[in-house]
Amino acid sequence: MDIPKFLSKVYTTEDRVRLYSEIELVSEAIYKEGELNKVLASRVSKALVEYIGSESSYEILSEKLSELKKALDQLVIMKLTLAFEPSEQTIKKIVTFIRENLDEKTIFEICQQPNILGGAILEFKGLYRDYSLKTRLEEIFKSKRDELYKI
Amino acid sequence: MNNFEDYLKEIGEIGYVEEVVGPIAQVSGLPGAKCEELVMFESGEIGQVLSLSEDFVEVLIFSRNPIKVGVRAVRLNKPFEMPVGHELLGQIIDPFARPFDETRPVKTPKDRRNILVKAAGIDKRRTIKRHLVTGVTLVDLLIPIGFGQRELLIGDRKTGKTNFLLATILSQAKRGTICIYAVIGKRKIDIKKIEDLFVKNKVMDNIIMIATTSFDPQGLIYLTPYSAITIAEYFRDAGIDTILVIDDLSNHARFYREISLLGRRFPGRNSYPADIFHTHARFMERAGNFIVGDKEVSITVLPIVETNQGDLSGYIQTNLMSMTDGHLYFDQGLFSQGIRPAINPFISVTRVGQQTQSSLQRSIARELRSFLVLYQKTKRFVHFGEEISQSIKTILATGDNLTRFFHQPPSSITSENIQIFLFALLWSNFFGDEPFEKIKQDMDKWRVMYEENKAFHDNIDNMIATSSHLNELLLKIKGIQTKNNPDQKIVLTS
Repeated sequence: MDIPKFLSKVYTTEDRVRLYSEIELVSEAIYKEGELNKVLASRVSKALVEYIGSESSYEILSEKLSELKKALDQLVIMKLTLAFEPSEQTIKKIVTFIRENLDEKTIFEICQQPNILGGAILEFKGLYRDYSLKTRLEEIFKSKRDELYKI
Repeated sequence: MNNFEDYLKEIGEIGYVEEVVGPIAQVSGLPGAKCEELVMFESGEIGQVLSLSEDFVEVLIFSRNPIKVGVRAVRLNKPFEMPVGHELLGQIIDPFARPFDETRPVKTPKDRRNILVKAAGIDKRRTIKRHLVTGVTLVDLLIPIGFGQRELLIGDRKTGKTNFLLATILSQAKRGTICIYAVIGKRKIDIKKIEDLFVKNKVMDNIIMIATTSFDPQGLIYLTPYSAITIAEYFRDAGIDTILVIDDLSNHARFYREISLLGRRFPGRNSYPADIFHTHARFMERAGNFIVGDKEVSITVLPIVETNQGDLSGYIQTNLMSMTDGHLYFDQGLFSQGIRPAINPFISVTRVGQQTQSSLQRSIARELRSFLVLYQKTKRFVHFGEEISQSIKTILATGDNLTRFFHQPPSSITSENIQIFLFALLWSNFFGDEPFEKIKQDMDKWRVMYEENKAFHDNIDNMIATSSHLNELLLKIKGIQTKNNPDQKIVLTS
């Protein structure tokens, strides 16, 4: 598996953190006899095993892992605040949309904040967009205060 | 001012504090940030963009409370604006126009002004022509200052710089000039002492003190002179002459150096940053004599800078000398000899002061300067132990009398015309061989009489106004019939 294909399966910052620790585990196991196979068999994800493949040279393997780490570092984080905890499928759907329309290297930092009621707040490369229901309602209350008082 | 969330929604940009070093925070994000723009942190603290790099925005924090890493930040899309207005008169404030003493609330004016504006252009300026009376005879006669001049006060610690300033402020505040006293990073007790003196002399109504103590955040101390000149510009635009005292710029330079070094800027000479000249020249340029409407209005700046062991060649000292219109040098040696004010007239410079003097004052200054040079030379010559002739004795006696004539106790002020009149009396040998103590008693009486007796006041003023040269004045003085009865009213027959 090549790096772009591998990265296409990383959706959130949690995925990235998990991968960092897996890379760390594999890196530590490379030079310990018999340890590498054990780690690959039980302690790392299937995607990483596929990425490593049947590579047996320690030097090449080490280089491959550091390249992967670099590629993970370069992923751009989009912070997404939602009122609910999204399912994996939902995340996958949103990430696919964002990657197709904005940046291929985007991953999400999901933040759950029930008080926004609905919608989403997005933070990306220093930009901040509030599309939450709470803000919409506040705007409505502000602009139509007099009408609402009459009700 | 809105709260953090309001700005976040309005501006649509967010940043995160990544690193905090002293008063400087490195913030990631905020893609539209501009230099000198204000930044608000989630905790409500305010900062200002100092510089921009590819990854970070460097923010100078104005808060006493530390900012934590990870805190959100938002830019406010506006520079730092401070409230300015007549409400600030008689108050001690910080550079945000908040009360310096929290127990004494200050009414916040409605007008707000950006504190980092460009200096007015040449088309709005006029030649300095009006004489600023400091009330200190030596300065008014020999090293005159004009309205709109930038005159540096330079000298070692404890050489009477502040006393001279206080005398100038007292003299000018009584004439209706607005005086702004910017105290940079001093002790609270020193600030209180200065305030007490103004209150005691009943001039506080014409004074605004902008004070920061050494315990204030460096960012706030850095802003002090900028806030002060902004207030001065407000009064200039209102058509009122303003004197701005900055006490002192060596302190300001030290605090700015601290900020720059913490911001990892490359240190230059004496570890000061490369832009230290610009930092000072930037507000100094905003002073001058301006045309507002159909009249001339001035901002006179009297900055103070300290020297070390009388060394005038220091980095900050020479920088400031080059950006001001002259300097008054307060000499430690003269101070030790008991001379007050301890201003050395030979090292002091006034580049535009002479053009503000009348022809009479100019002729006095010329005579005086050449005589003082002669007096100094003679004094040096006498050190060899040569036999002294009568003419040398006369020069020495006149020189000694002049030195004592210029002696003025701290914060005492003398009106312009009585200064000239008394000098002319002394110069014409009016008092003969009387001991100086007796001469001084007579002079003090006439000073009081000038302030209290209108006829005497008018006569002196008339005599000065109608004289265009020192010799002319000396001739008129010969007509005064008071020598033998100084206790009586002086009758001027000119």
